[in-house]
Amino acid sequence: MTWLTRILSRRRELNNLSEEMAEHLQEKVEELVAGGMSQAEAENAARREFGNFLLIEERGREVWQWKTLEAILRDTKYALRQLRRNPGFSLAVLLTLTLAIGANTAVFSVVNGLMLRPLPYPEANRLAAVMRHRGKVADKSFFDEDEAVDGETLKLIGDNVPTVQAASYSFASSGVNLQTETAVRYIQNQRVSAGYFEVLGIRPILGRTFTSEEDRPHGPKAVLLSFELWRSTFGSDRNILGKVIALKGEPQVVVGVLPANTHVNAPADLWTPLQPSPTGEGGGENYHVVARLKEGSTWDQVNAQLAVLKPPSFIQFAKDNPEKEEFLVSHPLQQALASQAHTPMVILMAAVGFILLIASANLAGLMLVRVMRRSGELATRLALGATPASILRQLMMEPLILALAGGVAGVAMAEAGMKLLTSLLPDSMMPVGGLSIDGTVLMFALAASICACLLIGILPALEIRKVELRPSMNFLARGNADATRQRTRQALTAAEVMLTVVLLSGSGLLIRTLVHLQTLPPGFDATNVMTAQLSLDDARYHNAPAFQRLLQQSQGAMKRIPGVESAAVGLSLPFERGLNDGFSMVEGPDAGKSYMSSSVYVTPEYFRVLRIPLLAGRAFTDGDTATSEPVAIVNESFAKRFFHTTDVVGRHIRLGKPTAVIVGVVGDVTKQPGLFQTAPLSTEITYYFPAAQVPGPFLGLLHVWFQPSWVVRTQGPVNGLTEAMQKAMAEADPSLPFAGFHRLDELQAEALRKQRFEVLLLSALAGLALLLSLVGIYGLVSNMVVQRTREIGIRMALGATVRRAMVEIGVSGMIAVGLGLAGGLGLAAVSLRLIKSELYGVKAYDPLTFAAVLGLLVLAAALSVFAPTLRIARIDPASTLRAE
Amino acid sequence: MPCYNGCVKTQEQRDLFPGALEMMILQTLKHKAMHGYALAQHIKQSSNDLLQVEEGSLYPALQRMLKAGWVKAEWGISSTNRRVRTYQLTPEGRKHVQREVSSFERMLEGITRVLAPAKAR
Repeated sequence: MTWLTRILSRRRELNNLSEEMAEHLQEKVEELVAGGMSQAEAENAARREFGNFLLIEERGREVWQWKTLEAILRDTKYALRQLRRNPGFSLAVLLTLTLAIGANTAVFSVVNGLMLRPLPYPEANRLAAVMRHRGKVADKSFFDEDEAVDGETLKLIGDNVPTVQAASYSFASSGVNLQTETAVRYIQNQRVSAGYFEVLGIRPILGRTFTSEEDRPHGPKAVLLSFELWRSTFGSDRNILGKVIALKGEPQVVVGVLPANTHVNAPADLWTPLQPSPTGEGGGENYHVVARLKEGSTWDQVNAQLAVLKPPSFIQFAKDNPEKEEFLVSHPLQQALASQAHTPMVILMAAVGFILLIASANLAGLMLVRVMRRSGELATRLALGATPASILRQLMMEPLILALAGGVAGVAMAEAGMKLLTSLLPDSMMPVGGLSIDGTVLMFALAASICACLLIGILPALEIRKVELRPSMNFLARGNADATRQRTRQALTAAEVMLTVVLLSGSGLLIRTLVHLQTLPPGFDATNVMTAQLSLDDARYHNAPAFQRLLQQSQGAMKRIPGVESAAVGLSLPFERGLNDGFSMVEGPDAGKSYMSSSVYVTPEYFRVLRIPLLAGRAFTDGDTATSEPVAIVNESFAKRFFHTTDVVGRHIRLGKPTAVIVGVVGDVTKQPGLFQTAPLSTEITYYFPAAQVPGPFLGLLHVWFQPSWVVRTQGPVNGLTEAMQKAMAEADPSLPFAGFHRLDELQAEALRKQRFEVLLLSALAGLALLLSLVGIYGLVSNMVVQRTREIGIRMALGATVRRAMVEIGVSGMIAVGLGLAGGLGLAAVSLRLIKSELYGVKAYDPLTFAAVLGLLVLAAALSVFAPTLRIARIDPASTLRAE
Repeated sequence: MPCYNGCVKTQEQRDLFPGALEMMILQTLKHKAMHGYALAQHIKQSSNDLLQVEEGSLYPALQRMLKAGWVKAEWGISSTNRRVRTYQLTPEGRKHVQREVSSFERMLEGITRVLAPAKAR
């Protein structure tokens, strides 16, 4: 019999079976009657012996069915019917699950992009970043790794590690000016060495990559365009190769176009050769190294070859720090790119995981109530021969359908969430190639759905084991079983509160961190100051006189804008990162020693525009010129660190070649530290030098890495200030566009982008957790009121007061909350250590934060306990008694 | 606990191994086509009342064998003039019972050998 004819003949066969069994019964009865029984007795006896007629029929029928499949289909239909019957419940569950699974999926897509999905390069697992490793010789667990190396080290790696193909690049891209036929555009340029794209495995869609000739200092000027720039600015011109474009104020030749979305760590519109050298910028750690493992080599060989390299800077370090060691080591490229993102990702993933748990606990509570309501029905079905397994399957079908639907909707929500994340993610947390939903993310969403289904279904499933036939069918004897179920719900609610405590305190600590960083004393006056940045990475300004002329004319024009009080130029501003540069002491016991400091060139009015207080001596003047005595101004931290006093006017330090005299001391300002990145914002040892005394060759180097800012102070708000500033600049040079205009608080916000991202996300999640928990508490208490309506009615009939009944019910709700708070504090104590590295100015165990969280939760919980108990007042003792 | 999956019970109410009922039904049908009631009676009698077939097991077992194609069924009139559904062995069923019985006998022989010396000791 084929399966087709089997289906067709199935109904006939089932009819045959029923008829046949009826005949069987008949025959038996007749025989018993013949044996001397009465008809009635015989019928009873025969039935008893035969057993459960319907059940046997069903077993017989099952032989012909795809038993499990059909049962599942039946259960699905039943579950869908149940869900349709309670649209409010279904919608609430679906919404909760969509939010929870969606949030999990969206955050996971970042984890996936950063750590799981292979980088978008061929054989990406053969790519590595080379890093400098510094650590204590004795204590291997303490170390510090930095990706940047200097020119000497770069050369050593290139010459002595034959197991890899190595290339180098500048980590950040920097703004440059591109002159097109119609306008000058400020675009992002990244510098890469010859062989860089070959190492990554990226082929240009047009032309070629850089030759080693072009990668030499002062080599031929060559440019590679990004696909996007080629399309938008050059109209996808297929004859672009060999054409000369005006970039950075000089003619440069286009040698190739790269495919779309090529950038690695920083957005770039075009690429120019790195042209690394052991001197100049190569004298400091300004190069990053990416390496591809050659065929037949191993990473162990690579690391062994790297470890023996000792560039001069390492030897110097070993001399200065005998107890420490420094060596080179390779790390998988993906890991190196994601290293900054690790802790925030763990925090966020834990937070969304908590949301899923809290949501599931809520829904498990709701499910439990539904199962409790159906316990009479379930007991009846068990009595009629349903197996516990079949009932379990049916009960799990509802959460499964809801969870899978929630999963599908969650993925759709994650899609929207990823767009939001893309706009919020700080660069250090943005995966190469962006966020996307791939197979791994879908698997994760499915796993999250199934996880939610199990969490929601497990408690009700455990409960049906406890369904006892007699008491369930007898409504008067049910109190006891209900009481244990209430305890289960209380425990669920306590667990929700517990997780909420952790999330709220975590976000509380991050908020305190952000507030601390935002309210650091700035050290200057930001009101009525407008700043504008532009690129001077421009061949025309690599000589001091041209640079001076530009500063003079532009500042002069800006001062003439009505409402402008003063104008100045500086290489960097407060809230920005400064240039790290070396200097040496020429006086005192430390004479001859070299140190690193933050350094800023400024025009004379810089301190006045920003109102940075002058503590001693004088500010720079127009008298400080290229031909006058070299001068410097140091900040308070610098003076105290190197001279142990602020009385340093007249002392000398050596900046590069000339020895400069310190003419003034200014107050510290808050900035992004560049030397020791111990916090996103802090003060830092800094010296200032006059823009007029920057040597010509140094200008080119400075402006490759830094875009100077023009700052003006106005008397009050000035209409059209930015246009006027651009116009003033055009008077000095019409081909220099400002990249953008910013108030200083915007610079501060940009510096705290990662912190703001963390606060925003974690606070949103903590808020969601709080909401879910309150709903959970409300559900628990209102269910208790419903359950005990009869009891309360009787007691009120016997003279109990409403207030007393409210207190009694309320107390059992508050017990759950109290247990949750206690557990939450314990869990927070363990888990908040995780967050430590993200905290500034506040300890992980911050009493104020904990007190605020507890206060908030107790208050909110008390409200959601109190609200449902109000219904007690409406209980009418007479009607409850009549309902008995 | 009811016994659904084709078990026959001894008088001590011990379940026989799975497949025992099928084997006995097939063996019984080898000699003569029979209807359900007669089958149950026959097994009971020929085992000297030692084995009792539960109707609850008999019919699902018959359905399984129908599906497997070991037996076929036809409606007819019994000797007692009653409308009955008679089961008949198919050639396939005949082969199956041959195999089953011989493997069962081997198993039984094995069990007997194991049990015999234990008794002797």
